Amino acid sequence: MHPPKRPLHFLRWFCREDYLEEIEGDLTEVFIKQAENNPRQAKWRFTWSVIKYFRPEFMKSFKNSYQPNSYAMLKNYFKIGWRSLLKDKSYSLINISGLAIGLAVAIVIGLWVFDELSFNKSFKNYHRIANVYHHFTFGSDTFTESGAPPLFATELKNNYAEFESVALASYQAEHLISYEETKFTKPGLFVEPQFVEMFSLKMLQGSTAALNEVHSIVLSKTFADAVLGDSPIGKMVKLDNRDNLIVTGVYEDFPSNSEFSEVQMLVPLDYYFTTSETARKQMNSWEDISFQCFVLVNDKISLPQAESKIKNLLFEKGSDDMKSMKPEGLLFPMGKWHLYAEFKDGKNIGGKIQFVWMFGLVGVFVLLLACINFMNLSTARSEKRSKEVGIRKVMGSVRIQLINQFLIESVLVVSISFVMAIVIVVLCLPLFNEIANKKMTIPWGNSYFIFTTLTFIIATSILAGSYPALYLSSFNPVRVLKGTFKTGRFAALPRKAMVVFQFTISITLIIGTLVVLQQIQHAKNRPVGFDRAGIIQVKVSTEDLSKANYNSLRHDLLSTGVVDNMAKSYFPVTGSMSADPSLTWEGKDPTSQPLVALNSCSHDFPKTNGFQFIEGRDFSREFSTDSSAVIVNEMAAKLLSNKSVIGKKLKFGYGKERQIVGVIKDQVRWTPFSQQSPHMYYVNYEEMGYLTIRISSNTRVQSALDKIKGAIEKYDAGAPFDYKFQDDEYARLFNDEERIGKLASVFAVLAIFISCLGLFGLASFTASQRTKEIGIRKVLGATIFHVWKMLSRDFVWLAMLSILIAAPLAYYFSNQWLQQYEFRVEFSWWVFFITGCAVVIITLSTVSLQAIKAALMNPVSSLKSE
Amino acid sequence: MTQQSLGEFEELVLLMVAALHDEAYGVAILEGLEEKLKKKVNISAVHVALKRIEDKGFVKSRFGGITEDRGGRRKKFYVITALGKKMLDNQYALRTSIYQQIPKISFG
Repeated sequence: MHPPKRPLHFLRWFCREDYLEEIEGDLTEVFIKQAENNPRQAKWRFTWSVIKYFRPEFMKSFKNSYQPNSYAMLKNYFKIGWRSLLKDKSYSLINISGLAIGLAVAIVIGLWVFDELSFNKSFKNYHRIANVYHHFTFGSDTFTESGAPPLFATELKNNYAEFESVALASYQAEHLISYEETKFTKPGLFVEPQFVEMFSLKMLQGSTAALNEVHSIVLSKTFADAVLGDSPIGKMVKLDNRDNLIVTGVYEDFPSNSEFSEVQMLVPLDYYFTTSETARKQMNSWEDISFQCFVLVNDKISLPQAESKIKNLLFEKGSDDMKSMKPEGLLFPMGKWHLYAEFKDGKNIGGKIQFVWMFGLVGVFVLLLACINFMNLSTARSEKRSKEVGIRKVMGSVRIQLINQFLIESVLVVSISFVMAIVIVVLCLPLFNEIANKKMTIPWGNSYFIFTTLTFIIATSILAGSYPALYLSSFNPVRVLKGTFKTGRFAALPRKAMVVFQFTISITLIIGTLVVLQQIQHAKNRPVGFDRAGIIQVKVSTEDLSKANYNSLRHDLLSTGVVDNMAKSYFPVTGSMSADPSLTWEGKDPTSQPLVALNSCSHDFPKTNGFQFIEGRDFSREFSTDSSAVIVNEMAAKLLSNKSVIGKKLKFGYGKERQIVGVIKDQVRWTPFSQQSPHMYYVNYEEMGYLTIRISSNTRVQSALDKIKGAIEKYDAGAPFDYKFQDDEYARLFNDEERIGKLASVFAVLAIFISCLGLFGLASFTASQRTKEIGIRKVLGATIFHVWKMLSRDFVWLAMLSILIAAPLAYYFSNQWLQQYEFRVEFSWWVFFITGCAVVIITLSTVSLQAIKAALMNPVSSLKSE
Repeated sequence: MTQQSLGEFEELVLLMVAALHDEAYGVAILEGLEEKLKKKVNISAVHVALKRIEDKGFVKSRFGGITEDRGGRRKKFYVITALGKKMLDNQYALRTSIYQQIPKISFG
């Protein structure tokens, strides 16, 4: 007679092991006694009793049932993992450092991408804020510019309920602040008071209404601390040497990754309107679009909906001149200001976002390269450990334990690499910040960051560890230990494919980098059309200087003896220009409205800047008619007439007629990467924006600057002498591209370095695997050269294959990148050739080190072992 | 240490362990109780009480040898400890002293 099975199994399943024997025994004894009388009832009673035992006191703890044992095992995994790392130090070093570099690159790029993507997004209402832009059509060209006239903003405020708030502002410009004896020139904005709340400025002192008073100014925390010290509120500072303004507030600096990061002061726009007659006229203008108009749409309406409301506003209200440019309003949302700032033919074509994509992709690829290295080396080496796996299995290791062993080893390596990567990032971040012009830090406390890194560590460990873990643990111990185990002909195939993949990416990066560098050089070699060396530009920022008598200033400067020539102009030669839609000439097609850039200057401007004339002559004081003379560039000349344009009359706005006296070579304007545009210089002494001073070639720059400073200060005692070298200013036009060039070079070098590390590891692995073979070959008469050739050949083939794959890829991508430039370098095929040769040489030298080492081995010692 | 408590059934089981001295194991205790109480007791109740008084330190246990009639399972024998004995003495003394305070009046 036996107790019923099912309840018994149940009891055994749940009951604590230390109680089970007693309870089962007692139950059975009771059951047997009862079963003698009534078996059926005994069974029921047995079942019932078992159920009554089903209570917490008798249950085993399911959670911790295996813990003590697995904890020890886990410790053991780490111990063995650590030992196997130390056993082969060079391999571990290659593996860890390769992964660490890849990780560091990925982290830095990740930080950068994150920084770029979060640009302007720290403002509370950023998704509802927009800047008013307008499309303007000149002939067949459409330009899109930010800007709206002051009355536009007034109209929006009064008659459009769609906008919760509207704030007109000037463009960012440098302003001179003087407080007692100290003077600072810092960027600032003239804004309407609504600006403060719209951009949720955090006022540290003063209220959000701080800008309501006309003669008020609010400063950023850093600037206020630097200028005014402890209690800035109520102090008087002088703006641009003109008026005293009361400091009514201090705001927390704009975040560094925002549009206004440089802005150090805000001044009421109403104050700006009082500063000059011109400014006063601007206030009631529908024409002057030199203001930014920020709007905050209310939360019931979307930006596109609001946009359709203002689309035709400027066209309807503007004058005929304005209408002729067909202005079409659009609301450019704040989230897009930074990354999507470029427009072409009336369409948004992105902008910096493509760099974000580009570098993001590069980061992913570099990381991928490092991971592939890691996988390749792990798998290659793990085959060496097949015997270990065999022994472990024989000793009773379960498959899951082997899998755990390999996974833990890979977690160990990834974690060490990660720590190294963080160290590298911490060390390199300042340098990277400098190149990329950023202020990034590692966001230690950011949960996103922690989550991403943890995910990454786990994902990489599993990815890299899974192959050896699953593959090796499946070995049949008998075959492995007998030595009949062969990895097979195709075992190395995935490894080779990965090497090809790595090299393809590296080569594509290298070619891409070379193309970027070529393009920069190409633009640098372009004929500029004006001189740069030894010329300084001085911005006329104060009223005193702008009212100075030009002739006496010129006389004073020339008589310092250090100045070859000087001139004034409205815009600097490297800067922007204005356009006048009402410009007409004889024979002009009245329907077309081509854009012609204009700059006004003194007689001496072309000479000071070394313009190159191809027809006609320079401005000259000897002809009294030259006070209304114009010189044009080649493109403008072509636009005006097919024949010679010398002597041709042009009609400017306000009815003024001017005559062309000379034609100069086209000049590089705006950016050295775009096509030239027609432009003109005309003589005008009314406006003074910049002084251009050419320093004598045989004087020392510093002493010359001191003398020039002395001469200018006579006219402008208050302002600091603020000058810029023309060659620096010109070089600044290359900033963005050079930055890409620098970053791309760094990444390309790192990519090829990581790939080579992997190759090096693989080569040493192959060499060590074939030790016996090499020994036998040498005994049979192979020379060192033979062995070297045999070992290197495979890898060189792989490299060549990669070049073949990479060439069309690189061609496609670099061509895509070049397409965005109007002025671009022709794709030259030698780039492929050079890259190809370089890669083959690098591959050979990486592999040869191992190959030669293996070839030099004494066959006696390599054959003797075992 | 706070005063150890002893439930009614626990006390009965403890008494039975003490009474059976060295022969006390689950089934023996069960049968002893059923005989004295004249009612059916479930073996699980006995085990619960045994585990509790063992945790409280009133009894200690050891395994006996293998016997055929229990499906090859060993018996677990319980012996009362000094603490257990003291507890029983205290209980007995307490009850007796209170009992003696009952005034000698006639009932009924």
